[in-house]
Amino acid sequence: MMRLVTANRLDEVLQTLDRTDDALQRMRVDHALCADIRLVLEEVLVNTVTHGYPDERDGRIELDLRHESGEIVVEVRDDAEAFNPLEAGPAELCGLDERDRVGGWGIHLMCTLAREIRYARSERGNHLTLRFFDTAGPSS
Amino acid sequence: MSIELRSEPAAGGRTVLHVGGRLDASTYLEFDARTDELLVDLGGTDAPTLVVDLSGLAYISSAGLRSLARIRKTLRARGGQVLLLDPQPQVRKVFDIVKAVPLKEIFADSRELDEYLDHMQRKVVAERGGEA
Repeated sequence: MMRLVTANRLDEVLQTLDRTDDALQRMRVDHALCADIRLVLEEVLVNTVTHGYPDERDGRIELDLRHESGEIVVEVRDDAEAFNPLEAGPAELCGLDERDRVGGWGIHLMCTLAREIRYARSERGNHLTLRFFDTAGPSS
Repeated sequence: MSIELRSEPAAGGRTVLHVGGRLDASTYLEFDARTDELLVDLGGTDAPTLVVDLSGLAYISSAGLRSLARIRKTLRARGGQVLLLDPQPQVRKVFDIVKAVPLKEIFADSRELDEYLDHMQRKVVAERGGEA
């Protein structure tokens, strides 16, 4: 398993996405799947730092990456305000001009690219588990 | 990876913007600033056509989609259009998932795009001829 930790600042989150790419490549994850995972994580993390800390306090976000039974599992834990993306509702697909609203495209991309998304909330914060088919198979 | 932007002077009834690298949360502001300049340059053009060449674009996220939506909305309000050229598989997949762009505005290669623009040009000429 690989763990990455970032502060709740956009610049650090964007650097963490690059580190995630590196970590996935070290796990020998297929290039196209790396791009899918990066895309989902960008949507999750940018949303978290943009909307999850309205009081602008310092926060911490952890990412755990691992192979498990032919899948790549990514767990995201944060201490942000409660936010369950699965309750954001299915995006209505009406075309580009009409879809220009916060969250719509990002959540739709997440739900399409990940095989499974689970959300839990505890006193420690949000916990999102994302599962992706690893078409190239586990290598470690 | 950052974003690479290069525009060609308007010619043949179109302005071409080549986009390479990533169009995402880290680069969309640069894209917006550059396209704002282009849109100003196109200000006096009647029904401007902006071709966005995506052949060098490796990755797009919802932040990038919103930037494309922004220029599309602006040009459509002026009677113009944004046409997307040669999106690579990862980018095309994102378009397909969110149905962000009508299929008729995406072209696999320059020949397909040229045929479309020629057809549209002949249509405009014919309509003007009919009005005369």
